[in-house]
Amino acid sequence: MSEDFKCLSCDKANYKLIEKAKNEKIETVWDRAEAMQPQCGFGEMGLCCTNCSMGPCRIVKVSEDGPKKGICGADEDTIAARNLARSIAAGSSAHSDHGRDIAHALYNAAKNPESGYKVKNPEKLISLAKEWGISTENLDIKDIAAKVAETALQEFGKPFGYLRFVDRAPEDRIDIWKKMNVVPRAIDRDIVEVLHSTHIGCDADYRNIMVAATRAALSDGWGGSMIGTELSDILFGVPEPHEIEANLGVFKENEVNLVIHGHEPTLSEAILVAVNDPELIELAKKQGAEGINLVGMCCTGNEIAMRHGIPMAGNFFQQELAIITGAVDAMVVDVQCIMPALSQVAKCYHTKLITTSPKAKIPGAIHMQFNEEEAIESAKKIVREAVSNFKNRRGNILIPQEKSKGFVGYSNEAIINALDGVANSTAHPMGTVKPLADAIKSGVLRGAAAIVGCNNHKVLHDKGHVELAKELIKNDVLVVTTGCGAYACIKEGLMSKEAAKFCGKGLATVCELVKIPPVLHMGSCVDISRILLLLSELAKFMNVDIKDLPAAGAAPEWMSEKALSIGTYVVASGVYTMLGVAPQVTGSENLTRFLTDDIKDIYGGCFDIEANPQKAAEKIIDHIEKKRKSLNI
Amino acid sequence: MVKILFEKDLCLGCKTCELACAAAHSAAKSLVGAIKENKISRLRIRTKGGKLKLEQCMLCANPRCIAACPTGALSKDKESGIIKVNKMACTGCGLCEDACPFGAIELHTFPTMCDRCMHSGKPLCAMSCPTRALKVKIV
Ligand code: SF4
Ligand code: SF4
Ligand code: SF4
Ligand code: SF4
Repeated sequence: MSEDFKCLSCDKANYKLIEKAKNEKIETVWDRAEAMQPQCGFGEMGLCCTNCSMGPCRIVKVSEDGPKKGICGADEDTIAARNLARSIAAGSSAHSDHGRDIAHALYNAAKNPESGYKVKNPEKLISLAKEWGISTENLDIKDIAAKVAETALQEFGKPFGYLRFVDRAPEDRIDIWKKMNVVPRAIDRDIVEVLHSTHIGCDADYRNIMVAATRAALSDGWGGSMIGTELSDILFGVPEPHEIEANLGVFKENEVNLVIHGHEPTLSEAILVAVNDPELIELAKKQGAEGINLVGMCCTGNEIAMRHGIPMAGNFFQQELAIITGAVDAMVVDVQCIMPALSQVAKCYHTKLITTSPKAKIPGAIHMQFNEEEAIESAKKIVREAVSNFKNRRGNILIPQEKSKGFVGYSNEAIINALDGVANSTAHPMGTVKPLADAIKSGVLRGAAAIVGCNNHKVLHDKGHVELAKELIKNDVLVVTTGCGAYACIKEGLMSKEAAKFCGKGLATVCELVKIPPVLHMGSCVDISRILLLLSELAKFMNVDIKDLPAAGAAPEWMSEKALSIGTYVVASGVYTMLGVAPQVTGSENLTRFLTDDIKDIYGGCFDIEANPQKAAEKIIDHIEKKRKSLNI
Repeated sequence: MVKILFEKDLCLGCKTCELACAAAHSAAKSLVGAIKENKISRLRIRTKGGKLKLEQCMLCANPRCIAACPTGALSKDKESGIIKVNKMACTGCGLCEDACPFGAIELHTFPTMCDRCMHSGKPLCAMSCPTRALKVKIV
């Protein structure tokens, strides 16, 4: 019977829970997606405009007498580009606001002992201070942290100059950005400019709209996200390889199950401290539980898995299923990718849905605001709420058996470390990307591809990620992954030692020698900034630009505005990027051609759209081989 | 008789026609009115097997809905061909809904189906469709 649900997800743990949901008459994302059919073609093509109240206006291309212009005269190119640009700006703002929160936490670590935050990696702090020209002489770590945090916060609104991290890009890249006038200047400013220029009666040239959108996206990748990643490493530690468990089988029948879901490690790190508090563990025991089982979901799960080996319970499409197990005592959420539907599902069980951010409240949930100034105390209150709910469990529990093991935690530092392990230290300088460059040049590795992004009902759950990853590693392409794609890969066993069996000969040899899995977990979605840096280092080492590398990106199941921002900054950084779901721009042939073709002549990277993972892999491999040829390797 | 032709290939699934229908049948003649007065649309754009499909009364020559009704509550208007409901006789059993081969009836207390907007003069679904996927033909 559970087999019937194969058409919805390629994850076995899910079949049983989807069946349980059906039996218990609980609606899930798959039901709502079905009820939503047909989905409006105007929205799908990006041809509906509500930017002013003369509208809504829709461009009708399918019939001759249908309107071809909005009431203000905006045509399909303008409308589709404005809609896309606004989504990119929203995505950039989500990532960047996350980065801002981390910078505030670093400031709290420096100035406010009550917060409980501490600098865990002073070396990375000092090296960033040096990079930013902050004098560290006669300053203790806290003073340096305060200065770095303040400097990071100024990146959001500084009136002059451009973002500091831009200088990390290869020179040729910066030249292209300068020529195109897309060098990100200040994060908030670049986002505001998109909102301004897409107001009614402002920018009508789709190419110029994309200039502003690209700048806002770059201020995410080389700005907000990079600040988020770097400062998180400073505060909470640089990720190192860990073996962990993943999938919905990580719940424990006899322990308090606390799911932490959302994005910002400021909350999850504090929750992690709280669940290890002896007093709270004692309280759990008094309730009849054997302990507290903290597990992660979506990107916040990636963050604590990478740094602390906490199990990864599931990705975006598994959030409702987690509650449907009946074993979740509390789901604690902060921001982004939290389905409002959770509140209804939680009501059908004993689960407490706890919202914590002033930026994200959900009707029906318990709101317990997380106060970063007293982070640990706030977290303890939240954990107490979870623990005290254990006794309210009802009988309808089903924890699936399915869970897999895999290695996570491949920060750039960890990757370089692993490679140094096999490099000949007398012949090679340590701590560089040389071994990686050598493996690529020799052809043992044909190249590298990043598989990132979300889940989307338009693609069979997880299959887009998994099939593409398998096809690529079979062809000796090293895969790095973040976000919900990382969950799909670890669940499928692609991050385990045994995964070498899926690889081509070259990649299998590398994995064995270096002792890495063929699919490297590089973190959460903001950590795509790590991938940018790795590419940048590799390009600099090989004396080329990022666009010349045999590398590609893919987002087979993407859905969020953040993904649009990522896609745009990655393409503008010179990377060929494959999308499994078409963005809502197809109503404008000009804009579609611009994104998939014209843009290549500008940035060297472009979007491509291919829903079939096999075909997508073929195209990516083809691209990689072309790049190898032009590099003469 | 007012026929409504559906050109599948033109339809974008926006459901503007459904909104217009509900509004047309509200006393306020507005969408807000329809929501407040609990008026529903008398046609539906659905997908079946991935294909778009229109559910709307076809004004059958030999209506199965009438045949199925055990209380004789449904009748066909001679001139316009639309199906009329005698609310005094209807028990809300739903047999007509099951009998209609086009899924055109929705039991909203009483059977509710397309009346070709007899009160408005023109079928408002077709008038509202931005892509002209619905076309009116008088026969
Ligand atoms: S901005 Fe122009 S196209 Fe958009 S709703 Fe207003 S009038 Fe219509
Ligand atoms: S209004 Fe027209 S295009 Fe929209 S759903 Fe109805 S028939 Fe289709
Ligand atoms: S309601 Fe159905 S069976 Fe009755 S006349 Fe209309 S289409 Fe025919
Ligand atoms: S003709 Fe009128 S009643 Fe019939 S579907 Fe169209 S709008 Fe509704």
